[in-house]
Amino acid sequence: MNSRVAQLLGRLPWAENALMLIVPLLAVAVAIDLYDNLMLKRILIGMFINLVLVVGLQLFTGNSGLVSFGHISFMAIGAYASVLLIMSPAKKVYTLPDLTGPLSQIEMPFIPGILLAAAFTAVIAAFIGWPLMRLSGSAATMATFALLIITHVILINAATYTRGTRTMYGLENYTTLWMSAFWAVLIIITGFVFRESRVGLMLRASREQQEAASVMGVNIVIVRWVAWVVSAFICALGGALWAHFMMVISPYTMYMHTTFLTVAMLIVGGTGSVSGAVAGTIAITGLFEALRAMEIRISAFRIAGQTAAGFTEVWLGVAMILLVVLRPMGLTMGQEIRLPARLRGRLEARTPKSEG
Amino acid sequence: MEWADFAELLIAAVSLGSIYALMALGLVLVFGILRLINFAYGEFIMIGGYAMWWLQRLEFGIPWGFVALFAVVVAIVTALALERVAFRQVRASHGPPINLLLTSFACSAVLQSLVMVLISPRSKGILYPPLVSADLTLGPLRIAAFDIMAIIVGGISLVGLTILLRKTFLGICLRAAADDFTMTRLLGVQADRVIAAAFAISGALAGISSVLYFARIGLVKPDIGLGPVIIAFFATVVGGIESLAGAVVGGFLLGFLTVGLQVVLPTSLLAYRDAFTFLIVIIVLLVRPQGLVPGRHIREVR
Repeated sequence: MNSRVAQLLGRLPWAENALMLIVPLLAVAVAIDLYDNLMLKRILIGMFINLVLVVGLQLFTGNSGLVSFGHISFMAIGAYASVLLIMSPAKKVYTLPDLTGPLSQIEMPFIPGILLAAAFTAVIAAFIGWPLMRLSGSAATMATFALLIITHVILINAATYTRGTRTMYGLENYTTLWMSAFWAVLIIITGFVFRESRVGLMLRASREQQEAASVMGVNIVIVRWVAWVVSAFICALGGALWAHFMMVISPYTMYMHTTFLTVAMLIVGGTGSVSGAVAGTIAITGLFEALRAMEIRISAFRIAGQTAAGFTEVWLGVAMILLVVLRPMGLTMGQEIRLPARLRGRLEARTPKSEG
Repeated sequence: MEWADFAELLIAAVSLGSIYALMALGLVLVFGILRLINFAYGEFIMIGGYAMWWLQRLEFGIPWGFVALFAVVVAIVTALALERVAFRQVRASHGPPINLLLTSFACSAVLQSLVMVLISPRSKGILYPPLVSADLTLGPLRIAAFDIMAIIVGGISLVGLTILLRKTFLGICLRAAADDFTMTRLLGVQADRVIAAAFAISGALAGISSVLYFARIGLVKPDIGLGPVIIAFFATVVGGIESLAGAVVGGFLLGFLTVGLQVVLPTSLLAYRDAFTFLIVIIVLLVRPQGLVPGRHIREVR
């Protein structure tokens, strides 16, 4: 058994990193499923969905070096598209009375529905990304920020499909604990596969030395574009999962604040690695929940006549700055998480030498 | 359209443009040196508004000039404080530049939620003297006194800033730092001081524009800073993020665009105005990534 694992690790160098992330995550999921605490379950589902979003963002930002503020617009498009595809026509009569044509009649099962919604979003991203990927540095960041605002304005005004500023309700709760865990694991693996793929390598080369990479024959616009479309697909999936977890969505819940939070998770963890994205998501989710739990306790006492309600955000902001000051290269220092040295040594001893 | 109507629109556009230009200048000053899009900049403006509200509530009938001055001072102090406790520490830790961006986001969130918790999530009214909201009649023209005030204050600030940047030692240091920060430091200019000065001036510009901005809308709420930061962002991108003149050009352009689209666009499309505005941002970035007024050095390749 051990030697077979060793062989696998020899062939897929990232499998070790992926397992180091996935096994503990699944262990926690099993533990919380057995413990069966509703609040803990919800926190974990939220974290798994955030993992999908942040690893999706890392796939683009980490490999290309371009900071994107636009990915939450893909989350929003994915969320609304999935609702349009999955919600039953009987409910659409109430939530989207102005909707006509095939969209008002369609009713898809959950998984095909979210996949189609994500594919639709990826097509939109492909069109947007084609000109956008020519930009570099701050110009790219600004353009993606503009994209976020444009998408927000369109979602608010396309009331026939989105209910505009009003909340969209009537969604079914499809995103269970294991549904979210499945996608989080799958996306983490996707993150590694992409990173080590031909396109991923070319993209990382262009991040390190743009001119050198392009002299070596890397078409920077195309490799960036591929990463952009793939990560848009993933973020749209995250949005669709999130919609069917919260069961209500509005354009305001997928705007600046979510952008800030996901980008913060990525930066705190370290943009350079998938492990960083995962570590950042876990750290910020953990911090947020711990602070909120503390706030509830403290509010019960009413210290000095003043409730502590609302201070969670304050402390979270302070904590983020502290994390960035203390670990400027990210929680995982841009590295992937590896097996503990002792265990690795034992496995490597069993690896056939011919694998090289 | 009669010429009088046109003149009125023109004055409205110039007045709006001067406010936007001031906002943009505050953002571009810090960007020039730190390469940082400071998202906490909108919070300087928000704090300025709350400073006015707080002073007015504290004591009724304080001379209005004093209230305005107080707003500017509070905005400067906020900017300096954030630079000292947050940005400087992050800079000293030698992380990737993206960490500064996260810091600006975090500062913005902290200030917003502090105001929300300590004051109120609901909006608060700010009083302005009746003169500001009065209409002046000049022959066939009816002009809001406020517009005249905005143009005068904006003009004085622009001239003041130009003198500061061109004639004083500090200004020369600031411009040199924006040109080539490493070289400037090698020549013996202290990085911390230059950056603190940039933040202070950025805060002052935010304070002045908050006085003008809140005269237009009359109330302040915790998330009010997002609007100005987006405006400033637009103006700097379109005008040219590398150059101060570009920020002014971009600010006035946005002023004219806002007033113009308001008149030209049919009501059904008016709701999409911001989408159009930001579409222009993307197009400008694609066609001229350095903006309409490029800086002298185009250093940023990646």
